[in-house]
Amino acid sequence: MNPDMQLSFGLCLVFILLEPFAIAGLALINTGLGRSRSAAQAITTALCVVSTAALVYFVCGFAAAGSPLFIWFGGSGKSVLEPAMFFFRGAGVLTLVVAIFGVFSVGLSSLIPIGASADRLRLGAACASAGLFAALTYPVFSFFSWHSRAGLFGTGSVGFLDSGGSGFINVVGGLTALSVAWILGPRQGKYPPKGMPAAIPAHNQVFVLFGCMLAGVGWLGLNSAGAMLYTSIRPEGAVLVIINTTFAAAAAALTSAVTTRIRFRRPDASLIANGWMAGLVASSAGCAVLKPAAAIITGIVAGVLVVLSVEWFELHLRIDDPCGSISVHAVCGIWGLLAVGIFAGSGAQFTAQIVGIATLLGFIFPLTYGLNWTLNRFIPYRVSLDGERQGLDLHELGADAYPEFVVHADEFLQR
Amino acid sequence: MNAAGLPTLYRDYGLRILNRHSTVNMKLGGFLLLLAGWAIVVTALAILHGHVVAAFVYAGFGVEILGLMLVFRGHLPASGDEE
Repeated sequence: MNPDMQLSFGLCLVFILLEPFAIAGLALINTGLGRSRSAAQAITTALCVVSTAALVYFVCGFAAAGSPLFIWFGGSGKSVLEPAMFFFRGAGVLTLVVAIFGVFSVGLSSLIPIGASADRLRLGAACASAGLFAALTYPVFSFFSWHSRAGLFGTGSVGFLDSGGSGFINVVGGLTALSVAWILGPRQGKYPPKGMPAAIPAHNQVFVLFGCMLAGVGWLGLNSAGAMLYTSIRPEGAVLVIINTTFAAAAAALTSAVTTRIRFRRPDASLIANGWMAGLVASSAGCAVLKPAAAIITGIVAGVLVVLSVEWFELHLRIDDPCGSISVHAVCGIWGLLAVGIFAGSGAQFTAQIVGIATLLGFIFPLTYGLNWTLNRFIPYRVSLDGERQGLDLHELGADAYPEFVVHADEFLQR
Repeated sequence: MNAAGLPTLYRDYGLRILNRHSTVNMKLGGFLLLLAGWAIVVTALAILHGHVVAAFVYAGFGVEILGLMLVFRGHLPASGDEE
């Protein structure tokens, strides 16, 4: 390994080690935006889901995705389901770096559906769904994403560009979140027969906002490592990645604050948090190639988009997504992919991005919906009505997250 | 009894079954359109060259948008189905 390569390798490893902060941040956001009676179950589910996804990815996910090393080193690529790569067998230290990046990425991605299914998804079903996700859904699009740079799905010499994972982490997770939310249906009492949907507020905004800050740190590592691995940037290129990621998130958070101020007369904390996350998500695809001004515009659009999208999904499409996961990760992820085509290239790049989005919507979405629908037949996803009323902490874990708090009034309503 | 001579309960039950069938068909149709759109995109990439590829890619993407609209419509709860 020459000194340049050694520097890249070390730096890439440091960036990868920041990724768990993104996982911790998302877990805190999901927990804070849920109900207090399901808080312990939410964070336990996050831990179990990440563990399941990591182990399944180790067993067969990485093999299914194929090694992307051919992009980095210009060698020949591995084919899908390469037998030598099950259990990371035969992997050298450089391949293991890519594999570890994949392990954290699949963990982060598998947490996204947990946000959309908060307060009603069983722990066992969440783990089973995460297992399927890590074994099939995530690797399939990773394979597409990595190999398209080598011309497999590219248009001419231009391939689909997604450095930090707007598509292969966020949109894949967001579309799975949409599927799971549809399969589960809304929480009890969310949509009364007449009138507006009931507002079920977040139980801990401090968790949510602190989760955003943690996720920001994690995203800097995620985008930088992704850009080094998949866009082959040199170590000094990481500076641009960090600038773009930070500016996009900042612009998106402020824009969503202004948008909520205009629409609801005062800034809304949970939507500002969603705005920050939307900026991070949208910045991922083009973090290595966009100019800072373009990254800021990407963030501004994401900040407006997420507020309108959360409202649209809740009021018009009647999808109960307590954490706004579908809007943040699917809608703003798609916007991030489009932004690369708009700001960073020619017409051919735009077409390549459309090919990527078309694959996400036309193949990954039916695949993940079908897998989750089938799994739901064998392992029912939704808790019983009594369990939901009681709270998932007591129902599934046998103990509350906040045992000294006053219990909820509606538990004493006459049935 | 209603005007058609059917008990109202049966009529409502029949309407609900019909409604369920139509939403299932709508979801299925939507997902098939999504897959068909993707097939157009991939086929265009595989067998065509030059500027015509982009035209077919956008056409396939348009088919997917139609499919997506149908899937969303199929998942909208019918009035009275909600809690």
